[in-house]
Amino acid sequence: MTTAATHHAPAALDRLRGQLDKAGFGALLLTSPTGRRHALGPATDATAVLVTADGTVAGAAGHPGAAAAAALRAAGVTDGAVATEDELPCDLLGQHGPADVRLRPAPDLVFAELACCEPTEPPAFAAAAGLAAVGYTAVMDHLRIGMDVRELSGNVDRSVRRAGGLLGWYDPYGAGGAAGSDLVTVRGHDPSTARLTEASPVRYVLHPLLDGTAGYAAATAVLSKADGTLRTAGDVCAAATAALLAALRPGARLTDGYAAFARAAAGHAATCRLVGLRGGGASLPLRPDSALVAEPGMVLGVRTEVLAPGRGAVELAETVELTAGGAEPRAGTPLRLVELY
Amino acid sequence: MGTTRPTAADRVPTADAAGVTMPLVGFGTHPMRGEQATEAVLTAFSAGYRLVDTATRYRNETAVGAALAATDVPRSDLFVTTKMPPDQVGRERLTLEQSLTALGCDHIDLWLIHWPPGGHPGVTSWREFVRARDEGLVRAVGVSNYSVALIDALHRETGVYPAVNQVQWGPGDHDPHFAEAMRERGVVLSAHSPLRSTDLDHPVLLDVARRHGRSPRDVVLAWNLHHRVAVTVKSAHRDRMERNLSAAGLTLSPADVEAIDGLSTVTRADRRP
Ligand SMILES: NC(=O)c1ccc[n+]([C@@H]2O[C@H](COP(=O)([O-])OP(=O)(O)OC[C@H]3O[C@@H](n4cnc5c(N)ncnc54)[C@H](OP(=O)(O)O)[C@@H]3O)[C@@H](O)[C@H]2O)c1
Repeated sequence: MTTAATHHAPAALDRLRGQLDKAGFGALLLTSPTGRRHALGPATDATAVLVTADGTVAGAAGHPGAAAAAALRAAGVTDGAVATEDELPCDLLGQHGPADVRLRPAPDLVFAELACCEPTEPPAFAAAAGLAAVGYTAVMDHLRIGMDVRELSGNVDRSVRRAGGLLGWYDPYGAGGAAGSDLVTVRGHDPSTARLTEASPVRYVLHPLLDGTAGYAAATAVLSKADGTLRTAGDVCAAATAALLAALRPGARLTDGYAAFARAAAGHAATCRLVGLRGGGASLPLRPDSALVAEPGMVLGVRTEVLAPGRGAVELAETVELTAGGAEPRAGTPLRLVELY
Repeated sequence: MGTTRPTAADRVPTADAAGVTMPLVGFGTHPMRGEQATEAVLTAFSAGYRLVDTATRYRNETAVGAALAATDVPRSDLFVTTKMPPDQVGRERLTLEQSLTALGCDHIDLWLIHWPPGGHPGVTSWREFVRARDEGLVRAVGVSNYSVALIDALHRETGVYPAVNQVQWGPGDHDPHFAEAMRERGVVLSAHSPLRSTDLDHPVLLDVARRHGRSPRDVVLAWNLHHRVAVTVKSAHRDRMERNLSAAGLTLSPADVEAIDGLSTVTRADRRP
C-alpha cells in the first residue's frame, strides 16, 4: 500500500529550491536512500520524496514506482518538468503518474544538493572527520599479526564513544536496509580465522556519525615491509589520490579529479569515486559525465582503490572541504599505504 | 645569607633517563587542542609542572609550542616529551622535524615510539631514533606501550635500551615482574592515564585516602611515585593540576603501598610478555 504525506520544506532545502528554479524544474523527485533521508530525515520510511520549487515536500512509502506517483499527486504536481535521480522506475510511473509531467534525469542537481554546504555545515563535517581520525588511530596503533578483527572493532567503538561519537553506523554505499553496530568495515584478514596476517594488507573504512553528520576516512596498512607488488599499488594509489585532490580546484570541473586520478593510475586496476556527504550517508557518486564545477563550500567524500594483483588492494578515503585554496583533507589520515614493521 | 623556599617544581622527584634528568610528575595534554591546550600548558607551568607530554597523534604540538614560546620558564628548565606514531615507520626524520617545528624547539627532551608498529619492535625506527639522539636533536629516546620482549628485541638489534617505557599504569595494572624487568634494563617506567585507568572508588584507596586526609587520586599518584614510576597526568583545571602535583609531598606507609599493590588485576596469563 502506498501512503503519502505532505508538509512544508525545511529551511535546509531553500538552496535546493533556488537551484530547481534556476534550472527550470518545478520539482525534484528523490528516490535514493541518501536523497530521501536528506529531505525527510533519517527516520523516514518514504521510498519517494518530492520537493517542489514552491516549498512543498511530499513523501510516499511503498513500492518505489507507486510511491513516486503518489508523491507527485500529493504535492499537486500535474504538469511541468520534474528533475529525477537516475534510478527512477519510469515504467511504473507511466501507469500511475499524471500524464503531462515530464521527468528528466538531473543527477548533477541532486549531487550538488548533497555536496554544497551552508556556511555553518563544514565545521560539523570537520568534527565528524576528526572522529573518523580517532577511529583510524584506534585501529592503526593496535594492529598486530594474528589479531582478531573483532577486537579491532571494539577498539574503534570505545575510542569513538569516548570522543563523543554515536554508536551505530551509516550505510556508506546508500544501498539501504543495512544497519548494525560496527563503526568500521575491515577487509584483508584471513576469512577462515578472522585474524590479521603478515602478507595481506588490512583495509579499513570508518563510518562514525557525529550529531547526524557522517565522517569519512579509510586506510590501508600492511604488517610488514611491503613487497614489490604491494609497494607499487601503494605508491600508485597515493600518487593518484594526490592528483585527484590537486585537481579539485574551485572553477575546475569535479570530473577533472576523476581524469587526474585515471592519468596517474594508468595501467593499473584502479577506481575512484567522489560522493556528496550531506544527508547523513555517503551514497551518491559523482557521475563520470557530470558537468558540475567545484566551488568553495562543497564537502566531498573521496574514495580510491588500486588493486595489488594477488595481494588484495590499497584503499584510501578522506573527507575533503573545497576552499578557495583547493581541497582540504579534514580527517588528516595518511593517504598512502602504511607499512608497519 | 638568603634562602629561597622550594617551589612546587623543586619538590617533584626526578629519575635518571639514560643520563637525562626527568621529572617524575609530568603534565599530559591529550585530548586538548588549540587555545585550550596552550592555556592549560601555561597554567601547568605556572603551577610547577616542568615536564609536558605531547605526541604527533594528539595534533596539539603547535598549541604546546605556543605555550613553550609564551612561558617565562626557561626552556632549559623544561622537559618536552613527544611521540612518533607507528604509521610513520620509514619517515622518522620527517616526523621529528615536523614535531620540532610545531613545538618551536631545537631539541626534544624525550622522543618515544608511541606504539609498537604492527606489534613489531620497530627496529628500523629505533635506529633512526638513536641517530637523532646522537645528533643532538633529542636528548633521550624511548618507547610507549612496549612489552619486555619488544624492548629486548630493540636492544638485541641495536645495543640500545629505551630510556623510558610509557604504559598505562595504575594500581590495577601493577605488575612487579614487569616493573622489575624495566628496572633491570635501566628503563624508567612511566605511567600514562594513572587516574583514568583506576577504580577511584575502591574501598582500599578510599581508606588510605581517608587516613591521610587526601583524595584517592592523590593516593594513586603518590603510590606511583613511591615505586619510582613517572606519572603523566592531565587536567584542564588549575586547582586539580595543583592538587595532582601536591601528591609528590604525600608519603605512604609500607602497609599502604602493600594494600594498593594488592589491587592489581594482572594475572600470570595477561602479564606483558
Ligand atoms: N603513551 C600513550 O599511549 C598514552 C595514552 C594515553 C595518555 N597518554 C598521556 O598521558 C596523559 C594522562 O593520561 P589521561 O589523560 O588518559 O588520564 P589521567 O591523567 O589519568 O586522567 C585524566 C582525567 O582525570 C581528570 N582529573 C585529573 N586530575 C583530577 C583531579 N585532581 N580531580 C578530578 N579529576 C581529575 C581529568 O579531568 P579534567 O581535565 O576535567 O580535570 C581527566 O578527565 C595524557 O594526557 C597523555 O599525555 C599517553
